[in-house]
Amino acid sequence: MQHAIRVENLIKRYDGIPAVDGLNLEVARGEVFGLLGPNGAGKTTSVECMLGLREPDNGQVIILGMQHEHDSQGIRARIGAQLQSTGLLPHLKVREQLELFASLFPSSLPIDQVAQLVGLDEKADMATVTLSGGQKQRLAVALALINDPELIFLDEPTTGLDPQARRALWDVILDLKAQGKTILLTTHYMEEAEQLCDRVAILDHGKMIENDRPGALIGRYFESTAIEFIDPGNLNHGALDSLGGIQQILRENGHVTLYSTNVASTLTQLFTLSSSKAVELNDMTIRQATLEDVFLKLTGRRIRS
Amino acid sequence: MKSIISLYKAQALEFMRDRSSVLFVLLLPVIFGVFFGLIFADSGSFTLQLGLANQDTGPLGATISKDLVSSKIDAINIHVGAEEELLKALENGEIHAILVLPSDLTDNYTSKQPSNVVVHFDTSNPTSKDLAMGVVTSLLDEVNLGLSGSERMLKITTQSIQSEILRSIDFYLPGMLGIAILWLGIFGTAQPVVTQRISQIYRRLGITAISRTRILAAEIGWRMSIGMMQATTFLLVGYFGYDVGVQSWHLFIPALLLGTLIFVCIGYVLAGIGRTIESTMAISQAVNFPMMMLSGSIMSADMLPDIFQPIVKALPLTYVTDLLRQAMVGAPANYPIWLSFSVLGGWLVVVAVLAVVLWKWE
Repeated sequence: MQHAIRVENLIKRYDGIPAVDGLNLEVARGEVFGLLGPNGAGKTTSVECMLGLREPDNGQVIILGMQHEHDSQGIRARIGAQLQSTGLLPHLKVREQLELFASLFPSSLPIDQVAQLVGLDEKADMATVTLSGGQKQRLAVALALINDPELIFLDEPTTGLDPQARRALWDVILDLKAQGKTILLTTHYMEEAEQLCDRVAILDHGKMIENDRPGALIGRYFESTAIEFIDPGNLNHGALDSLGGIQQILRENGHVTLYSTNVASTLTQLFTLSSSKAVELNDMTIRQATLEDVFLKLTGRRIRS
Repeated sequence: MKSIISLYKAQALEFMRDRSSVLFVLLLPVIFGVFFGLIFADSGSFTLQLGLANQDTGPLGATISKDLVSSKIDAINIHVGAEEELLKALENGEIHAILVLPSDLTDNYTSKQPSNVVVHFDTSNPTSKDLAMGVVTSLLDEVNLGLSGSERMLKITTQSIQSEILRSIDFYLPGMLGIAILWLGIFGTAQPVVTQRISQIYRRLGITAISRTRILAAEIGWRMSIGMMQATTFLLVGYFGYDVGVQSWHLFIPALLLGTLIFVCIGYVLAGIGRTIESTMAISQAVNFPMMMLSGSIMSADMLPDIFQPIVKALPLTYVTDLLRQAMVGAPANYPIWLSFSVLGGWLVVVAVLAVVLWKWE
């Protein structure tokens, strides 16, 4: 089956410094694919190369079987994109904005339907400049959907949104997924990727360091539960390593994370150790391992640090 | 075509809803025009006080003097006297200009040699200088025509002199229209383009199915429309407020279209050079100020020291204003029409190429 996106050995440098360094990925039709990574990992540059906004220094980008060098307009007619900067004309009303973008494509969905899909139907006659950040972001997503695209690019669609607005946008994306749309999503919210994506690629320093289903990635690196607390400073690595069930210990940003295959045993011995050394264990949380832990394990730092 | 019309309409709505754009680009030049009109409208009955010094001892000088004095043109008072005496009157501001008929006028005419007629001007008055020049040029044209033809030597009529030019508002209104077109390029193009580029609007439009050429066509089309709106507003204010219309549409329309296109392209060039709003503002002012002051739009370029004259002759606004004055009020041309259009054509080619080369989508 032809892939919706195929990227081969993509390299893009700025002033000689690689922003994307040999990226290879394939996104199947109907798949929601997440590009994860911290700021500066190369997510946005990768997306911009896929959208034809930047010319790669090397490698190949094939979108819906076409290449920007040969049929950029053909590609743009069949894709939709929401960029990090919304790029909206501030004095146009929501409806006018949608009408404008609808006119820039050979075919489009009804304006009211798209406005309703992103929950802006009641704001249709409001000037864009008066919308909140979340509403502008939803409008940007609406513009990405106006031409009923086969492939949708969403570049950090929920950054800066409050939890409620974020959940609302997740519902929109899940709805699109149910319609069988192919979506490439960039995010640095691991929870978002786990909720929305069929597969994820983890990027760091322009390179892809992992690529699989979220559950498979977590399972590959952790059969364990994470126990996290503020690093008291005087618990040495050897003492922690001797606790029962310990699979891995990470110290980062003033926190200690113990990955344990036997939580009860680890906790019992940890409390004994802390009381013998008169050490306080503050802000302790016990949770399942997440993609964040996978990233931490692979790179030695947190995705938003 | 649908996409171009939509983008054109979107730009129009965006412009009309941004009050500062409307004020700066559309209303401010008209307000200035009305302001100058109010100040100078009362001086509309300006009469040229022309000194005539006849140094020719032959019959030709005497005939010209007699004919000029007896022609009784409404807009000109002729004071006959010796050159030195008239020069003092000029210094005192009693007269605006002196026409000196040389001593060898009759001899030269008899031997079919050209004579140099000296004209002294009061340069302290920006308008009288230009107006006097126009009248004296017209007078000398009439004399030349009379001398070369078989008709009566002098045949000056009020109509042929076009005494309407002798109103200050006639000087200022076309000049302010020229400045309005300049501001359309600088304030109405460069700054909005940079703002939209920084807001990544062009970038966003660039990932739709519309071609980039069409985006620019809609943009330039809209800005040309603003130029036409400005001109219409000026013409309405001029016509109903000050009885200034258009005498030559054949000259006015190409001058207006060419001028607007040049300054819109200059706006795109400035937007291409500037990276931020602030730097674009600074570069725009560096272009705006000399263009306003040196082009003869609001003060006569002849008042400027000689060192500035090459700059005056290089500025596109100099020629746009000159053409607009000719077209609107029949002012005498400072430059031949073919030269004005040639210079403006050259400017258009240069700035259009630069606008394309310097254009940045983001």
